[in-house]
Amino acid sequence: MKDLSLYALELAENSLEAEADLVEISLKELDAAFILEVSDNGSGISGDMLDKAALAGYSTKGCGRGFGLSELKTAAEKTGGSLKLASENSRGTRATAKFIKNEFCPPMGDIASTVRLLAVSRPDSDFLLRLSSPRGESLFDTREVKNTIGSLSITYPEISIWIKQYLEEQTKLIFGGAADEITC
Amino acid sequence: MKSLAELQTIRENTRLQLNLRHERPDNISVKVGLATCGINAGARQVLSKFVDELAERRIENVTVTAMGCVEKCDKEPIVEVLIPGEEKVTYVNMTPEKAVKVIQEHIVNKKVVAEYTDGASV
Ligand SMILES: Nc1ncnc2c1ncn2[C@@H]1O[C@H](COP(=O)(O)OP(=O)(O)OP(=O)(O)O)[C@@H](O)[C@H]1O
Ligand SMILES: [Mg+2]
Repeated sequence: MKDLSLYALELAENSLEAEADLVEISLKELDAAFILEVSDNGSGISGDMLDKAALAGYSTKGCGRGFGLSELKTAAEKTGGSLKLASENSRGTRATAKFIKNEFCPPMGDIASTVRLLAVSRPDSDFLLRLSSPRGESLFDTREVKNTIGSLSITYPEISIWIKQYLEEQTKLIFGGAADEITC
Repeated sequence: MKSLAELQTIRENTRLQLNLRHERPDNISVKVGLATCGINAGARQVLSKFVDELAERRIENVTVTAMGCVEKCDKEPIVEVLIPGEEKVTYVNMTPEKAVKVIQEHIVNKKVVAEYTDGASV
């Protein structure tokens, strides 16, 4: 079974394939649920396609594809939660998955790794990571990193290692415990 | 606690080093398939290994990027390695362990790891 951080990676890949250059990933822990939300400034999904996008095998990208959203929807609904898609004026998309905490809820997984890999493997796009739980909130923004490092690339080894360590620290702070130990 | 101020320090230290280097070596490109089929087959761990291993070895002339599905879903995780002036090499059914070998043999020693390539007789 896939964990929440892998669903986050998939949603972000959808955003990037829709030509987004700004992707916001938010992972919120509530008392009884986890909310994973990914929004982008990509090409959006038009009204009549919004209902079909999460059907298994529905894809605008070629055969054999179209399983990302449907898998996520099935997993969220299995917990009693849901997947909602929104797109305003066919500009930008927001996917919100709600997982109720119970035995069907997948583990959170390594969200730090997901965001760090996105940041360094897609240097031309920007990513925002918002983590929140009853313990507090944390915000990471690659634009802030890029402003600080100037002409140095975000793919540079030392920077890539710093991002990894920073995000691991933040994840621990907000969710308590090592990234892959956290379960619903 | 780590802070953005540390990035400032990295930036300053690196500027000194970069100034000493006259030529930048040709950029090698590594692409990892990250569509749903790739992710389900373990592509994130493979991507993660490439990024970590290259960073640890301080190899700077390799760009690791994500790519979509290349319609060989049963062979995911798929990795393409492109060295300028050479033919593109496609590695299939990759694992983090295989990624380390590709870095050592292909990227560092410039010798294709034939047994991991698409079409290799297994
Ligand atoms: N962020 C987005 N922006 C624009 N369109 C999107 C976005 N996310 C999904 N879509 C549309 O919904 C379709 C279904 O998405 P889904 O993730 O289920 O499959 P896919 O990305 O096409 O293939 P797969 O995930 O199996 O690799 C996509 O083909 C695309 O047309
Ligand atoms: Mg998808």
